Amino acid sequence: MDVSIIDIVFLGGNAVAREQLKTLTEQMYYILLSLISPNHGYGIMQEVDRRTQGRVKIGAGTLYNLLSRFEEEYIIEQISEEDRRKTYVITQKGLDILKEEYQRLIQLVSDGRCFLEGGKQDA
Amino acid sequence: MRKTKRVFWGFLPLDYKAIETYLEEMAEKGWMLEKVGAWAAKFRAIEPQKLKFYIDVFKEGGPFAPENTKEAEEYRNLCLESGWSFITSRDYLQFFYAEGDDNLTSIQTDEVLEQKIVESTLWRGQLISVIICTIFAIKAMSLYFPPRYKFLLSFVGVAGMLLFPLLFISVILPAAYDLIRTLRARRNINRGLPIEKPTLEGARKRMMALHGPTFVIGVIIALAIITDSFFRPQVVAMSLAGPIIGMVIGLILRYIIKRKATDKKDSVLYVTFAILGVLFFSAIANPLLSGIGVGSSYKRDIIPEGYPAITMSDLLEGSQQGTSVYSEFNAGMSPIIPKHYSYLETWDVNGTNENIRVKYYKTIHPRFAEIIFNGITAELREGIKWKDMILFRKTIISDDEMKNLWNVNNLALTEARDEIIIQKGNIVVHLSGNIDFENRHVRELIIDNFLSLVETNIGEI
Repeated sequence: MDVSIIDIVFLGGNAVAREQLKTLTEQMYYILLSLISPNHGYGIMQEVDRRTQGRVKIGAGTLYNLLSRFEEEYIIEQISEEDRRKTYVITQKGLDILKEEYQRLIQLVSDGRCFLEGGKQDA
Repeated sequence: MRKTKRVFWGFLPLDYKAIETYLEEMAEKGWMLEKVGAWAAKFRAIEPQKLKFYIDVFKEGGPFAPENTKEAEEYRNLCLESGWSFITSRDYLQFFYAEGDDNLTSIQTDEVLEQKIVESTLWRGQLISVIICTIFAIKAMSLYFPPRYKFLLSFVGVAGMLLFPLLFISVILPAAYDLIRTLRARRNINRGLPIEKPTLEGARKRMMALHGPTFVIGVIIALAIITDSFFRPQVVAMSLAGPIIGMVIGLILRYIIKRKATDKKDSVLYVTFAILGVLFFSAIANPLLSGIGVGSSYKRDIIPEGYPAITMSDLLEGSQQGTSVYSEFNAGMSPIIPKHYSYLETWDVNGTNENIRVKYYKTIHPRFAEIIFNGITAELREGIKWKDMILFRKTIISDDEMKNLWNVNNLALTEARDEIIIQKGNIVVHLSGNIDFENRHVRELIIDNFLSLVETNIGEI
């Protein structure tokens, strides 16, 4: 895959992703995760809240902005609309990005375990 | 008790977060926001209560975007589902409220994203409007620079010359301040610091700093226009016709786009129609109004009381006989020149037409009289530019002997000696026509009529 995270979340010429971290934000990550199954805006908010047990909150404005940008970049796609409620699902491109991020997070945890828990053992 | 009230709404767009505090205060006093206009907001009476307000920047809004697009409805619906009720919108800003739920999730939960949207909408919009204002201000200021003596003749001229630079500064300074605030907010984000939320007090100070001088200058210019319209209503009507037509078309256009259109594409069509409308009306209105001619409500055929003057009958020698064919008197005033007029008289003298033109200026200070004297002589020297030609250009000479004889501060003559401009103290007189300026009787007549009235306390320089 030749699409970088920075390319993906480029918002109207403004890089939204934390360039210094070169990663998706937590909110972006959970939105994409919630769209593995078709879901609508408010459903995403509820799903993220449920999965993170209220730790990650996504505001309606933030969600609207991210969904519209993800849709423009074909990271997600709209599959239906009913009563001003659009239902989206993640695309293959979005899934690839999510998996790449997932692998990166695993790598982070793995590196952390090696350093932190290994350090404890040595002590 | 009143059910609704309107309050002045002068908050700067970048202070939108401070408005939340203001709306909370208003709700506690029993007033709920209903509608926000360009200059005023409408509130309706409610039971005093604690409410939470949230003002969000909708990136698909804007001055030329319809307020109720499908996208806007979808976004507001999402906000409603998350607990925020929509109140109203104004361009980019969307106003929401919620009844005291402390656990309610904010509409924006990503400061970086929010800041980027603010930069790409409000800040960019403001920058564009400042650039447009600056272009207009420079264009308007270029009309007043270098200052010409004719600006001193009307209230609008004096007000414009003195106040336009101030108006320009009052627009530029807040814009520069906003630029610094935006850069500071961006720096904070980069450093991982929270964005500084503007306080209501700070927002109010900025509002006063921006709108205070603009309001005062606007009132002064409006008063100047009203005063000038007393002397020259058609000139004022002509100069106001363009802006008024443009404003009416703009307001109709805004209403249609904002309230009637539901698709962003519609606005492009309406803006195109509006531009064509303005061009069409300008093409029709200008020749129509020009056809009316530059009149004056103060125009009359005799010289009123209180205006020093000489007439053709004063100048005619005993042997000459004649009858008045035409006469026209136009007066004006300004804070710098409280009395000035132009008088034209044509007589049939022994079968030939003879005429005189008198222009008289009484200023508040000899310095202004000098400016007028120099302005008139420069104007005569330069002539009038018309297409590629220069018309009515005259050679101006000075005659020291004559100046001493007339006992004036400044004196200039055309080479043909058919025009004379004299300045003594705070008075300037410009005479032309069939007048023999070498004639002693004529000289004494002019001195007696005009220059004997020089105010000695300010006139002697």
